[in-house]
Amino acid sequence: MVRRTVLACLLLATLSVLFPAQAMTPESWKLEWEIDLPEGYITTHPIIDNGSVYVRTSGFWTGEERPQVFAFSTGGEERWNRTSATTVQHDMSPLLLLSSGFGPCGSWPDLIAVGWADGTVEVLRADDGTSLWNRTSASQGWGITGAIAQDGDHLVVPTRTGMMRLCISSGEMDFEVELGLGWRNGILTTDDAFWQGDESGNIWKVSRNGTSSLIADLGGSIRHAPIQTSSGIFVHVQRGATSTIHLLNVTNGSTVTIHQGGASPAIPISNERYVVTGDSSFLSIFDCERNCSLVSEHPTTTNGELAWGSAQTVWYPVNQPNGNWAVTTITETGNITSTVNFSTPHDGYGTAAPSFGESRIAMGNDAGVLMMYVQQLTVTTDSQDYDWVPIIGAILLISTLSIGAYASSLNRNEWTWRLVMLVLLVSTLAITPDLSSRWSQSVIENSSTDGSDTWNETWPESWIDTQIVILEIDGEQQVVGGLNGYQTALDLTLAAADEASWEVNVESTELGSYVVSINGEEGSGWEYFLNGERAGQSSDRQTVSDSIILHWRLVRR
Amino acid sequence: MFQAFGVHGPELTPFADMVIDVLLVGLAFALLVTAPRTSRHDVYLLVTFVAAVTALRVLLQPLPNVQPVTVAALLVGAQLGARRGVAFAVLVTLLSNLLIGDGWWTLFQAAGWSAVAILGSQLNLGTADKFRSGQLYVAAICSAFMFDFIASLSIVTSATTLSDFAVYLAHGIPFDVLHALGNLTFAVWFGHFVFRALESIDSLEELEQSVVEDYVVEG
Repeated sequence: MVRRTVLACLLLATLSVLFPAQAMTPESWKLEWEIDLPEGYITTHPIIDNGSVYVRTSGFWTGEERPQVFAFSTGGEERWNRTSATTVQHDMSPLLLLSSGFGPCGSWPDLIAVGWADGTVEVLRADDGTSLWNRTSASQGWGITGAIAQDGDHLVVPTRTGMMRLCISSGEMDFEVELGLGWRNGILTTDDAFWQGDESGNIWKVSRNGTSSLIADLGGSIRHAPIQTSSGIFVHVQRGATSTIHLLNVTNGSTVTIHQGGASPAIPISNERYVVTGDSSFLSIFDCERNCSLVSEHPTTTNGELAWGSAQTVWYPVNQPNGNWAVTTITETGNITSTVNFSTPHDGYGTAAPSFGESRIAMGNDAGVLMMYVQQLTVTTDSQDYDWVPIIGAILLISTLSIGAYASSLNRNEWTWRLVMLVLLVSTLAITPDLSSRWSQSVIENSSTDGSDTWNETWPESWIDTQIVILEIDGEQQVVGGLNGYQTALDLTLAAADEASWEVNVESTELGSYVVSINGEEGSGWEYFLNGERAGQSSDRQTVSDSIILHWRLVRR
Repeated sequence: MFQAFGVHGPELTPFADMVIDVLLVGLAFALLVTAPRTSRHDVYLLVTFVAAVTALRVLLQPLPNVQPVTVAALLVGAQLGARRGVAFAVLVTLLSNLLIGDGWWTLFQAAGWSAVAILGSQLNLGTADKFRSGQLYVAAICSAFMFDFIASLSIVTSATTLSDFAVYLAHGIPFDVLHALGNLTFAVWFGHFVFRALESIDSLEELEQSVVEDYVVEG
């Protein structure tokens, strides 16, 4: 009886560890209808609401074709369309659905807010597409390209040169401010202000009375609405062939760089805890309950919109010649467990996220075809990239335990114990990398640290409370200080190496990244210390605080 | 204790490496040569066992701190006595490290597994027919921690403080547990089988005893 109970517990434990990750994969979907829209791309997500689906095309900047907004029934019948005759640039401001409401500046029915690339913001009635009002803003090559935000009974619009706030019901302007030139730069609304980035990497804060102030200059280009997190305002900055991710402290305006990403960042999204970013190299998950530290990554190319399909699935277009959509599942701790491809008959380049309605998904890409999928009829997922390892592992472990239980019933207890031990060992091996990493972190946190032991009085005072890296070879030290914002020991090391022109050779292994050599010196290995305490895990997994002395020492005798 | 990413001690010159290896080989052969009346069959069996365990260690090297050598050293120590156990531990350490990485740590790993073999020699595991598996399981768990501690001494330098070493040991605890679990798995799966296989080789102590008894009988 006891043996059976133990086996049942092991079985349940194995199931609970291995199956939740797989339970969130996309359901089966069937393409119900598709409509090839006139010339132009679908570069922003459609909207499904109340029996209708709204979508915009980008138009082209040559010829006579112009961007349009369409409304279809969820059955695929066109209800209305609206064309901007004066827009001659690519449209990429996502549509904004404004549900009927009222406020101090008036009441309004269900509306669709449209930002056009000629600088016009227009509000259309959702039921018939007629214009309720429109207002023009500055256009310098481009007009409105970022996401418009709703602020109660007002709209906050990212114009080409700044921002304006308009009454939803009347279009009356509350204020308009000049900021930096913007492109695809949406607006974050917080309790006390609006936040916007620009093409020069500036972060602007605009109070509700229209007073603007420059908060930070990060360089590069900010091409999304900043994201508010519990750790600060999160910004993904585009820079040439790379990108950087920063956190802005809203109380003192200081910024920290938390990660270096790939080229052409996507528009990040967030939920209560995690921020998801994309670029030409990875989809990345950041845990903003832990200073927005990087939790996990999946190699892909996604440069446009991302969308939450559920609390634990992220859908995004893969922006490649035969790109489809991909669905990445993350656990409650932010780890990526699987990525499944969602193929359509029109796979190709794309930047528009899908839109979700009740048992429906609307999606489109650069092919300009709007597709409506309905749930649970025919499987259309392409599971070539499906990660079968966990499920096969679970099946093997459960089978092994079942055989053990059978052996127990035959009184072959030695075989039962053999199989139970095997399952325990394999399960422990599976969790060891994560477990040891967390354990080491805990050891570091609980170790008594005394930074004064390693602080050198000859260092500049400006280095106090910054990140400092010491490189020691045969007793000779080189020191780089005054660094800020690096989240892991490896990131900090590489930043210092960049500043001091050290050559760092890093090797990736299953248990993390291993610093093989610095400046060509391998010795019998490199060890590192944080505030004088020996670190116990790979440097890419070792988080570091804002005030830290990281000491690398070459060991040889 | 196992440290996933760190150093195992001082860098040795090729000459120093060679000296250590020669000393260890010398020690192993000295222990074997001092054995009276070791039959050719016994030598073949022991060499085969050394080769098999070496191969197993190399094969399992990708699994963090799963060490088949530990239980093997325990069983060899238990069945063949301390001297052959130590010789076995030294030879397996040398041979496997030649394939997966030789250095200063070889000395400490050899010492660790030798200590495990000596621990094994103190066990009374009974006979193949009345095998005391419980004792082996307890020893398998304890020997994991003992070996990891001795192997960890390889990181100690003149600059290492007691506090440094304690933190280092603390970091390795999950890997120590993994080592113990691996040992237990090996013991449960192969303990009895290996014990029975080794029973055909008389331990040096048994041989010495039989020699003494022969003399007594002849006398």
